[in-house]
Amino acid sequence: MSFRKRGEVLRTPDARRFPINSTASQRLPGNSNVSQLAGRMGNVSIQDVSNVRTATANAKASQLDARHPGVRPSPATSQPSTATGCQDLDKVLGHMGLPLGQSLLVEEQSATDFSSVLVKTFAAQGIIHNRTEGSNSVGKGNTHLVVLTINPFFAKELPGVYQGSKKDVKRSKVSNAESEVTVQNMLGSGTTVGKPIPAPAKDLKIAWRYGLNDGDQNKTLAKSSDTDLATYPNYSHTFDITSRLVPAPTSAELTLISPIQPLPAILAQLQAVFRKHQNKLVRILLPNLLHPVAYPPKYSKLSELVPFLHGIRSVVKQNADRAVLLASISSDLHSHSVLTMIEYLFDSAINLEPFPQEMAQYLERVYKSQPNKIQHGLLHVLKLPLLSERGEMHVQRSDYAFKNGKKKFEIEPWGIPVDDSEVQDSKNTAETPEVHSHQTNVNLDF
Amino acid sequence: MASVQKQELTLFSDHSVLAESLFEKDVHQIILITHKLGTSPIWLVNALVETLVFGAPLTLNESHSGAVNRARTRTTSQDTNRIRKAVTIASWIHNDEFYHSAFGKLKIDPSNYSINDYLTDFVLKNHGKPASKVLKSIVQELLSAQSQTGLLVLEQPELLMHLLNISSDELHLDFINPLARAVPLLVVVSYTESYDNPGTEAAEQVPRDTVEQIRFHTGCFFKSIAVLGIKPLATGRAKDITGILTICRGGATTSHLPVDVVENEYLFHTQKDTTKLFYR
Repeated sequence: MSFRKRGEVLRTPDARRFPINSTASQRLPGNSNVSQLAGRMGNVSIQDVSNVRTATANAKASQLDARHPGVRPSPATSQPSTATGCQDLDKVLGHMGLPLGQSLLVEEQSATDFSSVLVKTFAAQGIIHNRTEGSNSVGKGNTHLVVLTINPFFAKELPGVYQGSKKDVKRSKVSNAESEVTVQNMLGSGTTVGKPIPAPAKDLKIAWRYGLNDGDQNKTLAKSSDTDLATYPNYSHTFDITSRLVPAPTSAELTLISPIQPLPAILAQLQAVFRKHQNKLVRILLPNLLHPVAYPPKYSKLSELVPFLHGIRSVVKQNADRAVLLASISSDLHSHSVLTMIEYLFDSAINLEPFPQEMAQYLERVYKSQPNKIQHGLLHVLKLPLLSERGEMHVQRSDYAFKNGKKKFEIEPWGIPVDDSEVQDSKNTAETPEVHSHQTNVNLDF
Repeated sequence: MASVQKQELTLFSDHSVLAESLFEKDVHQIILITHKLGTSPIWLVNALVETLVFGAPLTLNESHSGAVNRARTRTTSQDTNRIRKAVTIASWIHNDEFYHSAFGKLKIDPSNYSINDYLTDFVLKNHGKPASKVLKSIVQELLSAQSQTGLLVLEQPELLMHLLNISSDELHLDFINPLARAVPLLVVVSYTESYDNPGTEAAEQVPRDTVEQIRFHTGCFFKSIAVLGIKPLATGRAKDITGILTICRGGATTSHLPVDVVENEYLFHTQKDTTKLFYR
């Protein structure tokens, strides 16, 4: 006979964690194993495996799975696109994502680092797509991330999926703890161990009167009303930049390439990643492109920089059906001619311009009662993927503003808000002369 | 905008886009196309290629389906006495897929054009090799591709300056000049965003790279009989106008030709696969 602590979990259904959106994490042990197994069996049969093998042998090796959770057709051009990790940026790009085979440059003015949020969510989104399919997908997977950086801890700095407000997190923790098969829970539930009760129903036995336990149904209704979310449930996620992605991506999910190597070595490594990860979407990241800490000074010359970017562009275009590229650059560090050339070698480009101090103070004053509304800067669109290439004009300066929050990097149409106190002041000043004139009129009449 | 009259594109004084006299024996010309951020020259390249293949730029001012229908009738009833000239495209910024899909939409038969893709693997193949050798091999490739080449389009050849670390003079002498002497019409497509906007560096020291780029563009301008400049509106984005096409004479003389370049300015609107022209 063995003795166990009251809180100790007797049998963990699965040690690995999934994103909160994944239904697998909320399943109870009893039915989760069965349903997972059934799901796997439904997806992959022995016949399927042999078919897949012959298909890959015959057809072109680099074909993405049509059921890839992170790919959907663009509403503008029907080109398959993948989520950038920021829903608002997906919308601004005009394709609900970045079309495959395209590259995006995020420029940032001044000394702020808002672009790193976009870079990290782009990376984290790829990892989440890779983990969507199930527990054994870390080895297999559907997405691979390549980062050109000298930072060895890049993988540990990625944000985790937003799990709701503090209350939601507490509630989910409690329900998770109660759903685990511990001695305490078994004692508490008595004879119902064999038949697991769905967690929400157990939690809210009394609250049904007040309609509280309809919450989940309401949620699903709200989701189904949003067709995009219903059709592509795991396409785009919301990330909490104060949290970390757990477990951190391993070398099976992420490849780090140092940009300090000679150019042929970088390109050879990049091509090796594509060969190694056949049938996977490869997301290439160039964070802090040409940053003096990571890149040698020779890259400030176009004769070094252009072959570098041209080579990477070539690799992306060669694998246009399963590669996307995102780069961030600080525009103040480089001359206009260098920046122009870099922009030209990318398919799309946006520019972040943080507000100067006066503007930030003005917005703080205007939105004193609504601090959530304070924007942090302007977003200029320079080029859009595919659309600009075919000749449409998409340079939009000062049309959008961005704000960075804990859970979201939001982009919205920009309009200068009106300062109420100024309006009142001007009203007062406008009213006073009227009063005087009225008085003078009255005086004159008499 | 629907009531505004659309305009035919005319480059030469015989009301043609590409005059027949340009393709006579021992006549070699250069046309320079410049474009800036916010505009893409693909529609203009399409129009030139269509003019050479079908005799007129069919997709300009037409809905896409209408143009395709016209192209079909043209190709079926194509006058047999018209000498079919092939087009060669060499691009350092787009791969062959891009042009195959663009010309496929225009229903241009693949036998009428050849595409030399110098984006894919260019760096891997040529990194560290002597520039003169690489340039020579590219010139040979381009000239051997089609013996009947009537029009050779070079898209972004200025990238070669940086890819091979050569000066603009070397590029002109070893690349542009031999090609211009070999084909009847050479079209150079170039991105001039940094040429027109030196920015804050105007008063300061201009970097060597920028100087070389400006020298290359200036050289092309002086060698061209016509310069087609595309740029967005100075006022920014508009719903019904994409930009301005300016046609002006280049530095090269046209006195040996029976036609002249007609200087003009058009407004154009590109939407999806169609472009419409309007007088300014």
